[in-house]
Amino acid sequence: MNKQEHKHISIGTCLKVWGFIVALVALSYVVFLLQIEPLWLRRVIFIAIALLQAVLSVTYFMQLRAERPGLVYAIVPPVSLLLALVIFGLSEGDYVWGVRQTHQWLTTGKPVIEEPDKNGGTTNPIEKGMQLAQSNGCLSCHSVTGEKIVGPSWKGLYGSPQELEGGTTVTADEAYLKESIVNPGAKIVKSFPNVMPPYKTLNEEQLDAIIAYIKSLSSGGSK
Amino acid sequence: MEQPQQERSGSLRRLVADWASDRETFRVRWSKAMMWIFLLGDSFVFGSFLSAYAATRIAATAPWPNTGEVFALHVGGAEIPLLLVAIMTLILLSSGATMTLAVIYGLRHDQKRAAMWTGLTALLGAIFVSLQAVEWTNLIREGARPWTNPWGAPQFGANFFMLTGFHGMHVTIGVLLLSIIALRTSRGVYEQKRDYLSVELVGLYWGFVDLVWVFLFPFFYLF
Repeated sequence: MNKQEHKHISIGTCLKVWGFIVALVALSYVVFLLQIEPLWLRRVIFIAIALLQAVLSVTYFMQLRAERPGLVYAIVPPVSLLLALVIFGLSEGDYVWGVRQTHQWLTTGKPVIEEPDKNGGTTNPIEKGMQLAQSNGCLSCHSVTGEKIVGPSWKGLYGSPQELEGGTTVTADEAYLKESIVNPGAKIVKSFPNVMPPYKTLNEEQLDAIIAYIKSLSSGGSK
Repeated sequence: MEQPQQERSGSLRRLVADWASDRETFRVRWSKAMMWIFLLGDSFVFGSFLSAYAATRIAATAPWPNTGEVFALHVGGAEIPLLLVAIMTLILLSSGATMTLAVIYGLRHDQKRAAMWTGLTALLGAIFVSLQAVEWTNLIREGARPWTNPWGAPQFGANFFMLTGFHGMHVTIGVLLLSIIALRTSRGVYEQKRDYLSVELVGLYWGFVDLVWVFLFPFFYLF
């Protein structure tokens, strides 16, 4: 009846594909649980796994490879075009998002909001750094106006030379600022007391955000 | 029929031969060609839903609900994100393999095993739909509606109910078909005809239901 009987898959192949698909599901679930960063990488992994599973399932479970090319080529290209449909959907949705933001700005006068990240927080590092500086109490000792409270003011700090206890001078660059947050006693600026506690609980991303904020307070810093 | 050399030559040449032979192009049984064409059409239904989901999700101004939290399952006091959906995914994709085994045994005219594996596939499908019913019940109790939900962007509900609802409907119809075919196989209807095409056809349908979930799981739940 079927000249191409031999092309139908064997039980062994079916079991192997089954095991492989189960492993792929487990893998994508683990990638989700670990919340692997950055987000785009996670999404690329999900898309790759989905496409692999789709190919396996069409080739082996639906046994398309046992069909004649006339049928295969009538089915695969139109379905693949659906990908283009999704891309149209995305660009349309992106446009609508822009219109909605502009509408909000025009009607309420509120600035166009930042696109929220997955935690619902802001993605702008300067703004995030400002929030962190407030919530961690930095601003009770470091002014942003140039006024001297307890520690050196942050205004104009970034990129400026700092004379240390002992006579040496360092430039307040990223590395220096990072060290001075995590381990403030390492280099003490002349005529300031060594009273700042080390902030070791801040992670790398938070440190970068605070430094971005400090940079923004200095004309030499990039905005 | 075909020459042996032609069998060995490239798929492009065989494609041309399929279309140029001045005979029917899809040299499969008509019901199989019809099933493939039906599935092709059906894939556009789900493709449209997916691209609508892409468009509405990217256009949403409120943050998208965190699916890990929304679909978390309480196990012994701890909340495990997406656990129920991960289990459902494993069950459905495994049922794709059991269906393939049923088709293989059908092609071998192994009546008992074909009936058994078809029946098992129906059972797995029924478990999937039951778990989905649990998922829907939980979500509706927590206040999810097609037009609103307590977690974020209101577009979430419409997309969730449309996508999983349409897919769940396909699974339900599949379970009905599988049960009927399993019953008829075990009664020897196909053995008498010496033809297990019906098992193959429902296998194609079930493979498609599987395939849709392969995309729904990462794009709706994991993204």
